[in-house]
Amino acid sequence: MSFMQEVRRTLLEFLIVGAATLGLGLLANGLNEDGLSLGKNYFGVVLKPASETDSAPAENQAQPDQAPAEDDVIATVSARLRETGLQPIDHDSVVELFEHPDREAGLIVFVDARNDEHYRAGHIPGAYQFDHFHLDRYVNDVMPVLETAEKVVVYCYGKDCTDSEITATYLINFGVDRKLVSIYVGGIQSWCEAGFQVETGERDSGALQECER
Amino acid sequence: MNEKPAARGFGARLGLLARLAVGAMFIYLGFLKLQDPVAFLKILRIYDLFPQRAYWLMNLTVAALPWMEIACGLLLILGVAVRGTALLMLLLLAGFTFAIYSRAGVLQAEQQISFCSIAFDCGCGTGVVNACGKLTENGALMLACVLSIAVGARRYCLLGRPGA
Repeated sequence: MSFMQEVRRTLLEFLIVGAATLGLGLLANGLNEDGLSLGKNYFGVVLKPASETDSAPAENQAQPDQAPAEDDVIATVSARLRETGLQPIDHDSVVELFEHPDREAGLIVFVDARNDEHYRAGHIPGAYQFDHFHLDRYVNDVMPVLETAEKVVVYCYGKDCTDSEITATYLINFGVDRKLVSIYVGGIQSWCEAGFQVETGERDSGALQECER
Repeated sequence: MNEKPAARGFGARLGLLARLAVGAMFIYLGFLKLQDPVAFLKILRIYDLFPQRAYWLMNLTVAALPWMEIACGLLLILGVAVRGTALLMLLLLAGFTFAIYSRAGVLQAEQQISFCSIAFDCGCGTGVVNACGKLTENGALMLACVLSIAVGARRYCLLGRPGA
């Protein structure tokens, strides 16, 4: 076989293998229940414009001059959230809300925006899971709870993770009053660093433990 | 070609070793990526390789790439369409290497430390890696791909071409 024939054959193999393996990948993704939706923009959800019926965001949480304990990342993320119309909330305010009797009454709701593995490994006790990558699994359980909530705290791993921001945007777009939704920028990382316990497994499992470091 | 039989045998064994190494590595990395597609998607987003409007391309990459890696790895190990598969892997590796190099450069500028001190999760499936170590590994794999293309399918192949 001449050199040119070898080249042609190699290029033909390249095209066939490329097309076949790409097709295989798409087929496998389609058959996998955890597969991605190719047409969905997972990071592109945009906060709906505030309507006249929406309340303005609260002005009293995690303002730059009121958050001396925030590190640079938290301050930067908080500023970015405010620019996009979302409310950051600092660690001390989160602790106050967690210890408030209204939380037990279901009026203050914590929402964990992380995936199954991380949620089950340890979440803020009583927090509902709402992984925006799998919205359909959580909407029916979580939205009715949020309809009666007076305060919703959304968190993810912490600091520069964006899952809490995307989840909060979805919740507001689904009808939760934006004034009620706050993002705990420090996330589970700050929660753990402050020495608070986490709940493992399912929500309300009662299995409390120290965070794994 | 007046190639001595001993030299041909050595070349074939070297080619076999190269494609087994690349094949096994790709299968391993493909399986790791498959474990958590969402984590892979998040890391890929950090690379900022795709325009925001082309989100479907990022989804397509995350959905198909691990399976492509596994399938190509199997083809190389079995010795099916070795040259075409090795060429595909070479191009994939070139893309990965460029992306990792660019990302490490950005991190270096941010962190103001030496390039070889940069460690980050490259999305390769193995968690946090050292930039220089990963680039060296990719270089070795690319070399193995070139070797596989050069040697082609001669011996130790399921669908070999003894005359090639």
